[in-house]
Amino acid sequence: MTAEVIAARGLRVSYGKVEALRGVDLSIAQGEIFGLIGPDGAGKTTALDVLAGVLEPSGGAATVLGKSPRDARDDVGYLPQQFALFADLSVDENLAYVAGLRGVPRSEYEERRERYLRLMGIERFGGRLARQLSGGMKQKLALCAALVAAPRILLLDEPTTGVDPLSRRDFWRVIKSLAQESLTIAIATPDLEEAERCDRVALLYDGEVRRLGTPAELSAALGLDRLEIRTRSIVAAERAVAALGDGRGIEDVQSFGDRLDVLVRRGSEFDSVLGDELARAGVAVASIERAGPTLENVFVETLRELRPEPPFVAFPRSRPPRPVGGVAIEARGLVKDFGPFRAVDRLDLTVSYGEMYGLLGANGAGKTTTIKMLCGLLPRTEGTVMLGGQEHDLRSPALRRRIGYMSQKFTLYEDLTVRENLDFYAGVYDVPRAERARKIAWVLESSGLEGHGDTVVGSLPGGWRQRVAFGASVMHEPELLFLDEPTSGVDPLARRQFWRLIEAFARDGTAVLVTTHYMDEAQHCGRIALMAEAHKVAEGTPSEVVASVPGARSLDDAFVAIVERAGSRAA
Amino acid sequence: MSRFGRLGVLIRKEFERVLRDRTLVAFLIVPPALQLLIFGYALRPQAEYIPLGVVDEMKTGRSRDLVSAFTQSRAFALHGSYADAGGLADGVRRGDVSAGLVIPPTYERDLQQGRARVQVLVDGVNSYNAGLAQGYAALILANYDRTLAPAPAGGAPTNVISFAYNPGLISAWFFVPGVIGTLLMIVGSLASAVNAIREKAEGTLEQLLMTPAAAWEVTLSKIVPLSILFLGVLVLVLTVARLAFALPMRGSLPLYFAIAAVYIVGGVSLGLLLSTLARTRVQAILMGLFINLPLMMLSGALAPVESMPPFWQAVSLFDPLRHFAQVTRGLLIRGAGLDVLWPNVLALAAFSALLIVVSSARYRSQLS
Amino acid sequence: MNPGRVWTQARKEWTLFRRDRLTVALAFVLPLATLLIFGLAIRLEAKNVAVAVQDLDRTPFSRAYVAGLGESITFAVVRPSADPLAALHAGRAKASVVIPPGTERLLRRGYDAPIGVYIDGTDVVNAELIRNGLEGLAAASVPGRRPPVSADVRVWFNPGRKESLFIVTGVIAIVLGVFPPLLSAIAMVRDKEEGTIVTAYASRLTAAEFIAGKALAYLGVATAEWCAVVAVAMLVWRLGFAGDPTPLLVTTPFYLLAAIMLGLFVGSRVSTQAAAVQGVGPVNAMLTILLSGFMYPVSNIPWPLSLISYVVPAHYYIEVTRDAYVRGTGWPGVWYAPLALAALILLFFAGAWQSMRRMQLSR
Repeated sequence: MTAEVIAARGLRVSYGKVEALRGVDLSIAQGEIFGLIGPDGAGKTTALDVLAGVLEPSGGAATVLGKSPRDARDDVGYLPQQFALFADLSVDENLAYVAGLRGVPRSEYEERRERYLRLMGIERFGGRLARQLSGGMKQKLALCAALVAAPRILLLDEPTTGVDPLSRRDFWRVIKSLAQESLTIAIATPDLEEAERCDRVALLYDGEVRRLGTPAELSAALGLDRLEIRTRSIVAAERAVAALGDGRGIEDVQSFGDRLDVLVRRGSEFDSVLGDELARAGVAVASIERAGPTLENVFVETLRELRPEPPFVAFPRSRPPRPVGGVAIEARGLVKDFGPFRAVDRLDLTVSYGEMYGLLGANGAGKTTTIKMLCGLLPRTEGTVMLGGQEHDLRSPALRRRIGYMSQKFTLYEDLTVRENLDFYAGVYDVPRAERARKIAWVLESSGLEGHGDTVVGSLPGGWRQRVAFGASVMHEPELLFLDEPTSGVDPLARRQFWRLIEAFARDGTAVLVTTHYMDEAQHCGRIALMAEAHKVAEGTPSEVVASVPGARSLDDAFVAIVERAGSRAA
Repeated sequence: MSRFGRLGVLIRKEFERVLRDRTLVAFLIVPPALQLLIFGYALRPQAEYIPLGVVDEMKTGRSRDLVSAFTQSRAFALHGSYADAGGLADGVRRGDVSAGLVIPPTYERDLQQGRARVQVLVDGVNSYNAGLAQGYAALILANYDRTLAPAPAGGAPTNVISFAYNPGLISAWFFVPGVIGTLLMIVGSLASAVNAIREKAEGTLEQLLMTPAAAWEVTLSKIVPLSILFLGVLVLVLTVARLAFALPMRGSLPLYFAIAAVYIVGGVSLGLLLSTLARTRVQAILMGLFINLPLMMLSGALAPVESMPPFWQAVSLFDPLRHFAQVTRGLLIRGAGLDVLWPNVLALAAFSALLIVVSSARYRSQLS
Repeated sequence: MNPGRVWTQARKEWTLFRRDRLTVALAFVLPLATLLIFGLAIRLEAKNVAVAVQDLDRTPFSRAYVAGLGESITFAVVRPSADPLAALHAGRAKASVVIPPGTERLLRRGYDAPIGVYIDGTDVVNAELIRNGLEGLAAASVPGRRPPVSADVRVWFNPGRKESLFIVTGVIAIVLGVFPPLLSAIAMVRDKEEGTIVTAYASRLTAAEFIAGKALAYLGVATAEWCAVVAVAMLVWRLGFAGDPTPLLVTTPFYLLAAIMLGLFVGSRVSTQAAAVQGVGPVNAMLTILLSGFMYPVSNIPWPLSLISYVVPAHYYIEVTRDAYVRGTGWPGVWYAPLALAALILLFFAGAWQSMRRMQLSR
């Protein structure tokens, strides 16, 4: 029986009137890798803050190694969100600072520094300033800093957010080896694929633990099976499945770029029923496979129980939708140099009307720079861009009226209300007055904020803000839609609903260019391009890209392999 | 959809944001009012009741007469009697007295011969105060002389002195008008810079760039609402000045507000310019501080422009705060009109125009 | 207090300061520029005050009188206007003198002759100086008349009555009271704002050690600033020590520490760097310049406003700099300065410590 090293009983934390944790019970055993999952604002960071001894709970109790978290600080290493590194200090200086604060004797410090930097492959960068490190290297440095005092417990808050898949794999390799040295690890992560690698997982929602167990236990507890239908005609397939009706045991349908996932009750003989239905509808099906539900399914189903889903409302158009087809966005030989540093190197891409095109890659690969050049927000160093039939004067107001843009930070005015924001954007995009009321009502309804139009945007959680921002960027019925990481920081349920919205627009003929670092989301796109180190390293439909790497089972796998291949070629 | 519709939407958004920002609003009201009060109450150049040390080696009725001539005036107050000059020197060093009167033992005899001499000493650390003290001593002696020798050989020219515009020599009437311009410029440029940078920092500027809004519309929307707000601040400040110090307002107030509007637009534009030069709010505030401190010192808010060395007086001609301070003092205290103030108004207009053009150009290039 | 942790904290602060070009400029360029501008430009007494003279008498006496005005270094004669007030109104002159017709005749007959003098009362700084100057000229204009009592005037400490001594010694104090607090305030909030403070919270660093570490690092910075400022001041204005320099050398670290503690105190109470700078920047600059006795005596400040000057560190240090470079009295005159500053240091430290005490995230 392994010892319990972390325990929380009825933990409560309130920030003023807001209750971040409402009675959380947890028990983590020694040597365990424990995952905390949940949407933004669920309380994961708060829980870790309490366990690290940097936040006092308002009620309940937490014990770490038998002591209060505050007293156990010496044995706990904490890697907070955003890594808490000093940007202007070098790798060595950051480590020396933490070691000095923790009273690590000099000899031990030297030894540990050497060991951990080497373990993570960054020992050559001792003198580099933290702000000059890539996301992956920063993460590794932060982990070293958390380990330098030889803690017995490691608390990690979203350590892999925004980090490229290669670095993420490295990271998990290190974590697993640390766990084998009987280090206890608690990790909060929004990435549900990662969460599958934990020994046990707790799903937090709205300050309470809703599910707790091993990933296998949680999937089994759903009592559902997942049928993967691979086909080229997703739209037709989806319609056919919908035609089967709800009451037949279909719990959920999720569409990806080239496959349809149908969640059905376990044991039901759905494969053949579905196969027949699809054949009847004339949909060419490549395969139907049965698999277990993923943690994402667990997450989504749990959230569904707890949170009403905003209705999917059709967008009120004043103009008829554009016909699909024809090139909407084109870039040839796009180059961007920031001084000696080349951020984008000779990129070509085309997006047609009605197409959803995904630009993928880790942070720093060049996606955001590319999309900003296409929009005209950044001047190009070289290359041509064609938008909506225009090659020159891309900043003209007439063209801008046909373009919709949603930036990474879903920029709305945080101090204004939802309605004020929408009024502003409707006005600035010259949406005809007669239509404004209808459009604004649509945004409120499809965001689930009907009646809450006077809420200040700053007080909305991430998922709602994202929906309002999207609404604000499409009210003027753009023909070209640029979405830069539109789902960063948003929980999977909200992300799914969001993709449905985007797909609806694509079906109406809007050309959509999306950038994202979530590989699983890329599946929603018709075509994708992978970017690494300023280059486009792969392009095609999602399944084409996966197929191009023998042995790859997911886009994530494919990406890692492709990047490694590209890296070794360059070296 | 008219072009002004879009501008109107932009301006409305700016107003909503500024008014909703509680810290900004507090910043617009509290510091100006406070600074005004401190400037008005705390700054007093007058020298009154200067601590006087007396060495009376004579100690007769005559010498005591002379001493009382000094101590009865408001200028000096007796703080110590010393046996000799050495004792007086110690008193000065200890800081007990700032001025000294030494009456020699031969005073009575010299007086009878009509040529008595005393020593007057003043603390020269603060040379301005020393000058005042010297002057008062001379006046006191001159008056005393007249009482001693009432029938001179001839008459004496007598100055009939009146202090125009400020007969009571109320210090607040000098400093407060001087600081109004400083306040408007410092608070104005700071608030404008912070407001404009906020958009850059939170990313909404990028969003704006993707809308069909023209660069000139966005620029104007940054300048107009704040300028109107600051005219409001001016009303507040004048009200406080009136209530606290009975500051006269002898000239044409509409004219003053018109000139102030030109000046304020310049200040807001300066803030806009700062926002294009700085990357963060902190940088903008520090830059603003660096620019505003010298502008304030050279403006005549704290010390008269005429007291500055000629080179710096010339430099201050390029300081809009100096011109506005002159307009404020001239118009409010002296009741002057455009006929007198036109050079200052011209300078203000030129500066504001320059600032508007440069800041708009830079802001526009940021926008595209 | 664990000295190892304090030193770790101080070393980190020092490195961060060095690497940020903005703060280095703030620490050296701005103070020196301010020193130069203020020291060269600010003066109280006007020279060549414009006086508009109307000689309606046109006699040898009046002409001599006008000539006397012109020769004095205080005044500069300018063209009069028909209405003596018009010149003042137009801002062309600060004083108007009208010598009415028949003045000389009155004087010869043994009567006192009135001379009209209108002084612009707007400029309260110079108004009385102008009055005194004109009175002096009037008295001197009567030849052959020896006053029964005359005075031999001497000026202590500053015989040449150089204003720069007064102003520059003040600017030294002002500059060191305005810029170091900005630096320390920014440093204090930055950790909180950027989230790096969690590292400190997760360790055993106490609030006192945290504050002490920052104070130590910035005391070093401020000392470097002081050296630069004093060196420039002494070079440009040829300042020399008037007496015992020990009070200055002893009080300076107290003053710098007090200024830094003030910044740390403000920084501990706000949550953004922008707020810190807005609080410590314009507000502190105003209070330091106005209530320290830099230009106008503290004794003239009415109660209750004068109470604030007791917590303005520059108030005490200005006395020390002026003593060191002008007065030369030494300790007997300024013994209280280090004590008062020490009290302020403790006060600000306590304030900062109070809000950082728990060393945990706030709810």
